[in-house]
Amino acid sequence: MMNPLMRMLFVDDNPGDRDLAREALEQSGGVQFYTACDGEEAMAFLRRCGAFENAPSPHVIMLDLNMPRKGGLDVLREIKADDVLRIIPVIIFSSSTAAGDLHQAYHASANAYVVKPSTLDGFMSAMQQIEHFWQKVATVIQ
Amino acid sequence: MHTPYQHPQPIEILLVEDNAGDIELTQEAFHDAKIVNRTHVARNGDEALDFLYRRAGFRDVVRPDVILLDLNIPRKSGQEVLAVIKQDAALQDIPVVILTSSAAERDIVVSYKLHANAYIVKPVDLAQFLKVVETVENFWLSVVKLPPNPPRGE
Amino acid sequence: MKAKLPAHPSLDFRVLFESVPGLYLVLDSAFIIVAASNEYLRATMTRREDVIGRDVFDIFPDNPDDAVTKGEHNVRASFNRVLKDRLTDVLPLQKYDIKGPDGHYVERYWSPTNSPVLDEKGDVAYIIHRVEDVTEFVKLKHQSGDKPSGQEYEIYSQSQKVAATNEKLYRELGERELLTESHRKREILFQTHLRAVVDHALDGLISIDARGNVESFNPACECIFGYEAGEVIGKNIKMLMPEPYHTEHDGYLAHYHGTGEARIIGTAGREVRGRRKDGSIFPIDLSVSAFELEDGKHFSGTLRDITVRKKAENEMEMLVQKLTESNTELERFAYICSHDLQEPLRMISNFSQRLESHLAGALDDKARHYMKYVTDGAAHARQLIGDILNYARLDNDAELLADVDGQRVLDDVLQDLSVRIQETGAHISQDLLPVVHIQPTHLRQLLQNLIANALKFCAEKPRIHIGVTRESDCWRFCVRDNGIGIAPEHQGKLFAIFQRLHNRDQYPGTGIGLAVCKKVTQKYSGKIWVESVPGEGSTFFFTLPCRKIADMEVAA
Repeated sequence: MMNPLMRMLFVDDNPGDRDLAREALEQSGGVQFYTACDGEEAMAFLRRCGAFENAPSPHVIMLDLNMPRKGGLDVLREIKADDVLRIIPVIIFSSSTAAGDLHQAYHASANAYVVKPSTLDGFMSAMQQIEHFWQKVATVIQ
Repeated sequence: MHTPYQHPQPIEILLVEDNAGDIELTQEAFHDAKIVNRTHVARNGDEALDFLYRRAGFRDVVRPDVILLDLNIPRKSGQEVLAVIKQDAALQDIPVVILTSSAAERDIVVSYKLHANAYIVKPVDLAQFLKVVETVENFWLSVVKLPPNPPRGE
Repeated sequence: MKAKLPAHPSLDFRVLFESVPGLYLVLDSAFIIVAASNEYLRATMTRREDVIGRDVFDIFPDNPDDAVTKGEHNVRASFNRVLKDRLTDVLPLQKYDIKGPDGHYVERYWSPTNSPVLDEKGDVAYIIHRVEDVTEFVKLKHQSGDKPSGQEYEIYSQSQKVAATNEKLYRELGERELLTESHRKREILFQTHLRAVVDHALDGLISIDARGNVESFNPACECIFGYEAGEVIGKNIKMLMPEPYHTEHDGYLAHYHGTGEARIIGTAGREVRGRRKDGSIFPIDLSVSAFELEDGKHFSGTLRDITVRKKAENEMEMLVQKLTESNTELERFAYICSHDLQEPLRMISNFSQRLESHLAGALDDKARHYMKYVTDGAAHARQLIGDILNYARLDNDAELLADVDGQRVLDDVLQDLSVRIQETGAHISQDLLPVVHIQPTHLRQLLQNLIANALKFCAEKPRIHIGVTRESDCWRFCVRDNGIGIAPEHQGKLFAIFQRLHNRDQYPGTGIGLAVCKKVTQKYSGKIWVESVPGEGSTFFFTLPCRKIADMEVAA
């Protein structure tokens, strides 16, 4: 079932990656792209605190792991512990291929773990595939 | 297209589905997949759990890398099976993709609350169905990095 | 002390002696006659000048016609007894015939007594041989018609028997004494030997009684503790111990006596602490044993001052710890470095590409050329970082060891390399690979790197063989190719990290493949080496340990 306009929250401390991700998804036109630059900002967005009072509720979250202040794993755990937030699919998007990180992410109920490709093409392609699946194929809570 | 990972061993897929037609279509679609995989079928909730716990005739089966789960199955319901899987520390990290005909919000909410990894509404149209399976394959078997398996005894 | 008697000038002791009423001979220790009384000469029908200075048995030999006589034998034996024991020896009735002036032997019976004369040293200087001539008495009995009365004959023969028995006993006693003497000497030698062993032992030997009082304390102990034996023997062994042993030792002894439970007794080498005379405390390697004598239980300890050894051990431990820390830190450093470098490199790589496409029209040839250097540089750096990360991760990854089917891994690797295999038209042959107990990734990397190299460094259609042989305690794998080969002078640094023998435009790669292989084999205490002839090909060998699964050997 197609989601008319999918809202994605992209959490990453790397501005370059945020830009690239936005570019990758701009083409399809089916995604409304929101960003947070670290874990604290992400939680503020999700809980609509302070500056994010009017933030919308995202349909899907992409989450980097290595971030200052609050890391991705902590954010993941907080989201999955929250009765309301836990229904939002969280996709870990990290350059780490370490088995430990994988294990911890899935153990904390991450919906999927995607390794950030190191090439530009790979990065763009992965973003598009993610969008394709979650926006066009999967059904998420509106 | 650049596929980042070549898995050293075939991806083991457990399909929990009671509709014979759907089983055939899904298996065929996966058979043609680029990624080496093997599909196993459980036709009801009990069978699914027997498979996962390697009991009652399923003693030598492998641990699946991903589970496609229909909600509408006899014996134990899909949601019961989902709950059991996601509450068992040994099984909870296996990705479970709900592939079911229900589009009811209640079903979707409950499934995500039970930590279903994704929820897909089965298209009625055949061509669409095949496309969906192909996308599932592309995403879950290729883009996604599946959780590290505990070492398999040979 | 003898009183000094006034000398009487007119007293001639020689004359006095010669005149004494009695049959006396004086012999020296060689049985030479030095003096004789007149009555003796008379009774034996000899003249003084004939006997003085002569051997008594030359002058008085046994009667040759008397076959059974033991005269000389018995008298000689008696003289020897006197010499040995320095005591008077009385002989029973002895038949000793005397040669008459006409050369015929006449029957004579005597009752001899032999006494020693001792010199200042206490040795026998002379023997006084005193006899009583009892011939008349015996003859009288014979002549009175009857044979010597049964009783008298009995007495005579009994006395001969007694003499014989006495002599036998004497001899036996002598032998036994000799034996005892010999035993005693041997025992003394043995004791001396043991004593010397204890005294010269380099280890401390100490013994205590049941209450802990020191009974022996060898010279090595004296060196070790700084006490003289005299200062320790008789005192309680506690004095050699620092706290807490000092207080607890009585308890240990009591416990042992009470329960018979040995904590330290009978077990070799335990480390305890001792206290020297100067109060310093030092480590001791101590073994204790127990033994029982008539007077009760005793304990014996062997001890060694291990101060030096412990110091060396500690230093070694510290060194090992330092090295391990240093090693771990280096590995972590390498990991973190390469991990953190990945991201900025990605940025360079990604955005220089973006820049390139974004500015596509605006770039002239030179600018495009420069951009290529930027993107190529970034790509190369990315590859290097990826390789370093992989190399460093060989230790970090918490993958478990498993029984890995080598055949399956090889199949996967060949599948991975299938494109390249097809492109080069390579022909691959293989032995059936065994199951190996290893981290799956490691075996994969080994095979992948070696086979990828074989495919890469080829001049013509590659022919590659992957083989395995079973050695006594390991599997020896080989990857053989018909490629360009490696010159002997290069083979040394082949496995060093980032070592390359070619330019990147000749053959791509960062030069880490073989370094990874080496690190992996080292992890399993295996070896890796190459045999190669330039222009003909190379064979890379590596070994991995065999593992017994349950009690069965794993066979290919």
